[in-house]
Amino acid sequence: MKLSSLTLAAIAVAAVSGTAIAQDFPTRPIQLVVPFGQGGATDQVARMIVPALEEELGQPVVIINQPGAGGAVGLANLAVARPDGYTIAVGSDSTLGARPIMDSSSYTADSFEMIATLVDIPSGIAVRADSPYETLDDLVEALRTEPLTWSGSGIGSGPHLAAAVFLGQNDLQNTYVNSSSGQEAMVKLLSGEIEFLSGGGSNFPPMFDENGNSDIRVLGLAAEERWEYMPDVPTYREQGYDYLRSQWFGLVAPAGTPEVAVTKITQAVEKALADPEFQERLASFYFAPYYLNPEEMRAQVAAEAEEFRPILEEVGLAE
Amino acid sequence: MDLIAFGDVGGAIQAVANPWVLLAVTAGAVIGMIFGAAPGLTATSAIALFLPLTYVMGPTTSMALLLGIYCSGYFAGSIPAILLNTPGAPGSAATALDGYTMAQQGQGDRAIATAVVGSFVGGIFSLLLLALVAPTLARVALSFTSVEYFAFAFVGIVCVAGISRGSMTKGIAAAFIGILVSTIGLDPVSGVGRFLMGQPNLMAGIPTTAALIGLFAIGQMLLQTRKRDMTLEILPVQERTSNRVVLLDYWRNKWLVFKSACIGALIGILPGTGPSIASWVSYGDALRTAKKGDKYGKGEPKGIIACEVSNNAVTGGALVPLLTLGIPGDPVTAVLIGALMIQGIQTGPFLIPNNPSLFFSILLLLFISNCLMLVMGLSGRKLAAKVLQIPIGIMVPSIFIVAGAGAFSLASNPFDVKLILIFGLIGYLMNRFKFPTSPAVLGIVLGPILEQNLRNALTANNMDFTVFFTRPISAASLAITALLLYVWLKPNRDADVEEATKPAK
Repeated sequence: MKLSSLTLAAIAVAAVSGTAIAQDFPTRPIQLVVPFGQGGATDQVARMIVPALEEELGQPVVIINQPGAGGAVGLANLAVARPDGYTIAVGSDSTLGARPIMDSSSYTADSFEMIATLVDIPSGIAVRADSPYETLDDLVEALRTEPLTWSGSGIGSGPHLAAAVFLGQNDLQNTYVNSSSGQEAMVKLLSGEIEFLSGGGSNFPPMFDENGNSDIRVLGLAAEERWEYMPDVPTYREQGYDYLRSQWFGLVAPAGTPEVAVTKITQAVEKALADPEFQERLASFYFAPYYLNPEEMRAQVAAEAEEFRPILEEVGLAE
Repeated sequence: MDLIAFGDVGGAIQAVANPWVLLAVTAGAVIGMIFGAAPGLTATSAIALFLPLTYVMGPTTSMALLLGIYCSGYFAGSIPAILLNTPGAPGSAATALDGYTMAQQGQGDRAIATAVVGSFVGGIFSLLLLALVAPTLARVALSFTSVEYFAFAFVGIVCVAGISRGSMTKGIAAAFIGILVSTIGLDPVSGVGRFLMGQPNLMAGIPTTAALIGLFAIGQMLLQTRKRDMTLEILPVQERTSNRVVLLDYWRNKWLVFKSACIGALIGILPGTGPSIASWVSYGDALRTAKKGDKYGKGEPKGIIACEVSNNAVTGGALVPLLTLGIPGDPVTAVLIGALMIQGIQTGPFLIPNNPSLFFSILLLLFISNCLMLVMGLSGRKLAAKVLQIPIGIMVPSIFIVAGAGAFSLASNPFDVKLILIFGLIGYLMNRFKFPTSPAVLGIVLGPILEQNLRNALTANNMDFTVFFTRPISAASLAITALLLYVWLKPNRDADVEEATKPAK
């Protein structure tokens, strides 16, 4: 049987410290697996929440970056880690909702205990500043007659799914050109290789100067209300498209983790997210706090999986 | 860039002339040397590792530390490449070709000095480029699409196959082994799993660094263990070389130096590329223009000049798109974005207009870290050569341990340790049967670039393959490829041409 690094590490630590009683949780450092590389959005979220968790839980929280396959490698290893609450990971809409439907993932949402969601970012569509499409409507009309090219950060990623579901629900023609990151997609947009880009809202504000000049134009954000960091950009709803989609991040633990441990971390997250100082730090990265408790988070994952399934089936990615 | 005022320059000098900042850049240079020289640990992993420390530092101090690591980290990989035929990082793989042969001939000291000076020259050149024409260059690089990226990668792979030591057929075969390995994992365009063998850890594909450690470090050490008399493949006593000899080499080859620096800086500017591609392409170009009497691959200092100048010219080049567009030019600058954001500095097209004095600080720090690298490299090279006096009974197991630890540190995943053992065996077999290992590494690096950009280019253009010939830059690159193949396959090149013509079609 294959032992993951986390399992090995957990066994090693457990052997030293003896069996911890769940009620005392935590009695030793917690490992937080970030299934993406250093410097990306997931990593930034994790590094921001860690000090808050450490303060609440009274134990060090150690970040382990285990990137690969759009977050699937880190989560696949978490699924077989020792369920004692000392190994947790950052999951997201795409890694928890979409990846399990796709070919050759080795986990499902049931492989994990949901802990809590952390932040969300509205997804949106942008074009070049010199593009003929001024509004979402212009773009949609164009897509009815010709398959324009577009990109998002990798197939099965949040930005890809956000636009793919929108295009699918409105029955629009399109040609998806792949990028392996949001930045690569932005390069493709600016070089003229693609006509439009799907991305998390936090990618957009840095592209504008203080007078609102930019090489790109954001056509809309799929949030309920206008986004505080870009108040001039209308929502999809305002433009007549009833479509909501955010990319969110949350914490998960292996299935079978004691409820006491999960609850303690959930409470720590809830407290941190309510702290104004913490919210200010989030704001510097254009993230907004977004709290769902374990039940709500699981329901959210299930609901999104149902929306993603037909899209993934259509492009031949569902198993 | 007319917004630049003298006040900003003054502010930058003031910010940099702070003992803490100078301490940080020195510490960074030392850390970079160590990480760059240890196989498996790279400048990228060092920067990622030290990133959390910068939370408590100011913007200038944190940039000082990270840029110090960046410059010397890119150079230091050439030390083990020269002395042990084990590149410390993928970008130094090409340096091993001539560097290790030079060490075998007792010229290791000269090789290292050449590499240090080359890295310095390349670094300074790219720094000037960054200072003078950053915004214009970034615009040009942004006009490149998948078509151009495919063409560049194609030149790269042809170069590496052509350059490799010994038979060109075996070089091409090794490059294809690398490309085959790169197809393992999730299909980059459709997301379907390929060759996963029920192993979720393979979804991410084979990490280049793990393959590099395996093919070079472990493969080399396995070769050593075959020898029964327990003496390391003895390198002769290394002659000391005066710095003047090395500088004279540079003066004589100033045109080559200039060309390699341009290649490195330009490849650095292209997002998604990095030092490994730059060093191979400029080595290939050096080879293309080789004169009679040059002994590339058999201990030619010019080979090291070409690789190392362009390897470090990537540093300034890669900062161009980062500082002007917020788009990283190589893996290290991707991590630097995170470092800037930690400091509350927005990366994007407005970074320089909004933070002019930070921009000058970065230029100054790059200059200082290049100088530190030069001083440390030249004065420390005697120490590095001592590595060769370590008895094999200690050397081989130590390298195994360092390599294993390096592999584990990639992603704290024991699976990567298994991978380096598998690749060690492959590397051993390749060495044993005289297949060059460097093309295999570049195949792993370039395979995904070739594949994704070919598929993207065709998808975006209705499967019309003529785009590769109608877009001028791509057409020019393909013409260069054809020229290179013609030069290399000319009948008088070497004995195995007949063999080589077949697969090269």
